[in-house]
Amino acid sequence: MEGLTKLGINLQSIILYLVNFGILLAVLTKLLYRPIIGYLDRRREEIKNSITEAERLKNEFQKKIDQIHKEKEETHATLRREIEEMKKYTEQKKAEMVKEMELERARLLEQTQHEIEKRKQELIAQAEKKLLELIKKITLDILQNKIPQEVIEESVKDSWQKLKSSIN
Amino acid sequence: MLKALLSSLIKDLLKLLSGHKDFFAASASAREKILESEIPEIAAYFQDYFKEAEGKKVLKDLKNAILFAQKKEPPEGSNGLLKSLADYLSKKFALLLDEKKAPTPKKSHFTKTLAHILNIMDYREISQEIENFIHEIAAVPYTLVQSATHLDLREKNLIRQELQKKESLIFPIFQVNRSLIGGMRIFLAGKTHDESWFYKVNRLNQL
Repeated sequence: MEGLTKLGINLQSIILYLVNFGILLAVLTKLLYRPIIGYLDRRREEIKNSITEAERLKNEFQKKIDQIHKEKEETHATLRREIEEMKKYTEQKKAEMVKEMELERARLLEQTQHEIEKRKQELIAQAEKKLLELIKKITLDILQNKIPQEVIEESVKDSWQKLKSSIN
Repeated sequence: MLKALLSSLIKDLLKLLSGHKDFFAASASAREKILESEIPEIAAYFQDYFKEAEGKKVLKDLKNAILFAQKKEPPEGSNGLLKSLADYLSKKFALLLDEKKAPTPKKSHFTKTLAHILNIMDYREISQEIENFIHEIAAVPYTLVQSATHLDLREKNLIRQELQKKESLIFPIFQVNRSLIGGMRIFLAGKTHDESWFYKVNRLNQL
């Protein structure tokens, strides 16, 4: 006890300190501890609600995502089907067009060949005609200038013999 | 030319008839002798006509011939006078025309007119007039004979006789066409009979 008195600690002070502490504790409990506890409780409640809400939202979101995924899958499937059909259609049309083009090509080829043949025949006919004209010209020139007069006179007699029978 | 010829013929015939008033009462042989004495050049061609004709018919034919000469009337198809004249022209006169020789004797108006015609007109003009006349009288087709060279008288006569086997009054006109080169061509009754060298060469087109 004397040691404590040397230190300056006495029972009254201690009791005073304890009462003071107690008052402080009470005041703090009332003014601080309870509001804080209340706030913390409210905060916990809020957080709990938030978490619940978040959970709910997460579930809903997940559901939405699942639905979207599902719809996406369905859309993809539809698109794939349509793409497949479009591909088939395109292939079919391509085949038809190729066939038409082949027919048209064959027709044009035939027409061109026919025209070439026709033109060839025309050119041959023209050449033949020109050749005949030239032969006629040469023949007439020879007959007019190179045949003796006696031969011509004889021809008149011969032709009368032929004409006599044709007239009668 | 035709008008002059017909006029001279009619003059000769009228002179004959006025000089022999009993002509139509005479026998066929007597008529023949009268014709040979009055119009010797053409008597042979009028024998058949006058042998059978009566006075009225002859006068009718004469009248038609006069009006035809004056171009007032077409020739009648039954006019034997005009046909006999056509016969003479297509046969006897054709030979004289080829020879460019006037008929003899020249005692009748007709022969004098013929001689005058041969003097003043050329072969082509005379031939054309005769052919037109015969065509009008008897609808005889136009006949043209083209040859590459001149035909002699004998050849012309042969051709004429041959053609007249088909139609007695045919009067072929002969023409030289050097463009034929050789041979001959005949236009007859609208058809062409061509045996010329020119035609044969041109037929090369049909080879």
